[in-house]
Amino acid sequence: MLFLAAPFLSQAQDAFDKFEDIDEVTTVVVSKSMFKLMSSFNSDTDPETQEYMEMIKTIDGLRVYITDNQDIAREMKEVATKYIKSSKLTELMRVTDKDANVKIYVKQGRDEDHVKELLMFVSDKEDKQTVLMSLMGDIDLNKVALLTEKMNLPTGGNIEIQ
Amino acid sequence: MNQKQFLETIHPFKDKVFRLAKRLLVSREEAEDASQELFFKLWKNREKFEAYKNVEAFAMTMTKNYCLDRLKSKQAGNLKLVHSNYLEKGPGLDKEMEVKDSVSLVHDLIDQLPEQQRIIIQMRDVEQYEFEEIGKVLGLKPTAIRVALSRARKKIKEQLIKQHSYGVS
Amino acid sequence: MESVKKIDSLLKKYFEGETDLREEAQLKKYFSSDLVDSKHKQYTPLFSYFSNNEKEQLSNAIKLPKAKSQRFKWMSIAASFALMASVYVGYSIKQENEIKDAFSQTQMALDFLSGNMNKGNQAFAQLDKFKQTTEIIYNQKNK
Repeated sequence: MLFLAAPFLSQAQDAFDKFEDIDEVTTVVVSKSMFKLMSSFNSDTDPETQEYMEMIKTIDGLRVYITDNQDIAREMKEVATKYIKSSKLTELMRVTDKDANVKIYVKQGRDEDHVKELLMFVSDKEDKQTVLMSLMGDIDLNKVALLTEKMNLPTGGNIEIQ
Repeated sequence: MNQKQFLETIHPFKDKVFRLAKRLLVSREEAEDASQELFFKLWKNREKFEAYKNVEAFAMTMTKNYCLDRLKSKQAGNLKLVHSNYLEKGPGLDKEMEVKDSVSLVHDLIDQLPEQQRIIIQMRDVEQYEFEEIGKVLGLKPTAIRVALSRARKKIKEQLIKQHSYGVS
Repeated sequence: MESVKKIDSLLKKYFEGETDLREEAQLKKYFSSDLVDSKHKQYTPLFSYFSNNEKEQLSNAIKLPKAKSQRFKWMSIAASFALMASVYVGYSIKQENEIKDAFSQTQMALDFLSGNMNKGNQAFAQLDKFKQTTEIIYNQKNK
């Protein structure tokens, strides 16, 4: 009993692993080695893609869990809360509007602009979709924000994984 | 050892193998078949070549054993029958003899000898092996080889003298 | 050429099995010449025979179990290479596709994250209150 609850799970990877196998959960995992491969990938030099490539070079891992199921969503929230506590992540921001609740937690990196880890939890009220995202690396938040700011995208919305 | 090397190794004595086989089996065709069999066997045993100081002796021994086995398994009676024509019929000899020339007579005389003597004559008088070498193949001491050789040569000598006295050239 | 007497003694030795190869060669040489004494003539066939018989040879070339097994060996090696090459190519293509997939998924995830961050940013302008933490990060943008 003890070891189940024990916080040996220092990585987000391990804490949320169990959601991967559940049918009602869509999982996206991009490993460190895949990030390495991507960054060495010679892509065309359109500036937009280049921005992403630059970003990708700073990321070690990405995990996304998406579900429509409310019970699972609840459990995900519980696990996330526990994890945030045990890993001592701090809240970066949270936004609540008519569409969704968004919470973003981070662990600070080498300086004020960088984070080692990011955890985002989104509850979409309208489509009843819940998204849990975890990012690891040496991430410049300004740059992340810039990705969409310029393009003036409609904010938030649902994430679609093809 | 690849096939090319093998063929090079056996080249010096391949015909000796054939001639010994022919000496024992008499028929050229059979001797060719036997030779083919023997080289096949040798090829299969090519790893053993390293262990044998003398591959040639090994090959000749194999030939001897193989041919003697062949002779045994054949109707031994058959073979003797063919040749007894020459040996048993005394004066009647001259009829057959007249037809053959004397050199092929010698061939037949040798073929009539007991196998061991045949082998020794073949290996000494035709192939010019030393007594030690012949001894290895037959598993006999050189002195025993000489004795058998002498017997064989004398037997041929007798027939040749007889032949000559019948006035056949 | 040897004297008749010498030949006599050699012959005697010969039939006793006592001659060596050199002496036997001498006898062969004598008997192949034209100077064979009449009393020796009866032995000519014998020594002629030995001189000639050496020449009998195998008529057919030796056939060894051909590289049927060797051929098979080469074929299977070639097949292995072909298989390895195709697996590699297949794997490379698969890898490339996987990388492309991972890239687009990462892109979308980042956009989603970014969008949500900016949501806060936009909302920020309308809010009276704001979280201390956000100010630190977004400070520079507002300038």
